[in-house]
Amino acid sequence: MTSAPIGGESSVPMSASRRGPLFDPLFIVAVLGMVAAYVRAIFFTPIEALQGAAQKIYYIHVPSALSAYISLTIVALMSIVYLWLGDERADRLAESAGEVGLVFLSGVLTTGPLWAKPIWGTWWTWDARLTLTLFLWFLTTGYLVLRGAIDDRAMRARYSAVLGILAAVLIPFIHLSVYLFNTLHPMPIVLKPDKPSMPNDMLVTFLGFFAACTVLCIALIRMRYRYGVDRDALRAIEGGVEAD
Amino acid sequence: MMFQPSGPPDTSAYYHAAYVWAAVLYGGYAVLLWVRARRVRERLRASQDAPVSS
Repeated sequence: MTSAPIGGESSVPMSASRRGPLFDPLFIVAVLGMVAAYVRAIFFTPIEALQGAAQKIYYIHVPSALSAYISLTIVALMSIVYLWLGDERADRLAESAGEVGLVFLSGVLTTGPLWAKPIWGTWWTWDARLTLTLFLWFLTTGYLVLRGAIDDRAMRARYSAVLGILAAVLIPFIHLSVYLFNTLHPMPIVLKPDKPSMPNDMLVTFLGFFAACTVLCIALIRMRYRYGVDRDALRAIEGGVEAD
Repeated sequence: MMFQPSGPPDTSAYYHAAYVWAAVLYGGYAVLLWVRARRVRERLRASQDAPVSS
């Protein structure tokens, strides 16, 4: 019995007709889910008594953060797999999840200030959680810049795997930063040992957004991975010519 | 003058901005990814269809 070659996808270019669709079917599901979540949040979710309508930013802000954490956890896990097995598919998946994670982190860092301005009276403060999240954004950007700066495939995969693992170490610190430091950022409302301190109407909206964001995150990673397979196949055919 | 209790100030513009921005960001990334994927796939197809010179 023979096993599949490690990282064999790029070494044996697949015919174009056998490749999957450019838009993942899961992406369609994610879009429908997001539309349903938007409609529910805007029209069918009550306005919070103290914060007013700005509290509804929570429903997109927190699921974006969780999707970023999921993506960067995939980066770390696949980086470990790459360092262990040397499988280039793991490296490609880590790269894909890193790029998608950066998009979701950008969503977190831009929707957060839109909530902070009406509630705190300022767009930004050097609070522990905000600062650590910004630091994670720079680390993830650095991860992708590093990947673009090294030509040798094995070296690029090895160095970026180490950075990807180190970046993910920050995630639990970000989540626990509101307990470890005296911060302005609100305490967790849903992700905490006790039951969620949120009315059922709001909780259902939050869970809807969380599900839609998670599916969107997975769909984007799958689409980015498929793009990576095509790009690597093109590089193999063209003899190392960059396809970006 | 009596204090008139009122609800929270209207901050709906902020959440509308956040929702529109999130849709633009995530939708824009998906479109960008589709454009990149389509471009690479066209080049890949052209490379595979090109006659092999001996």
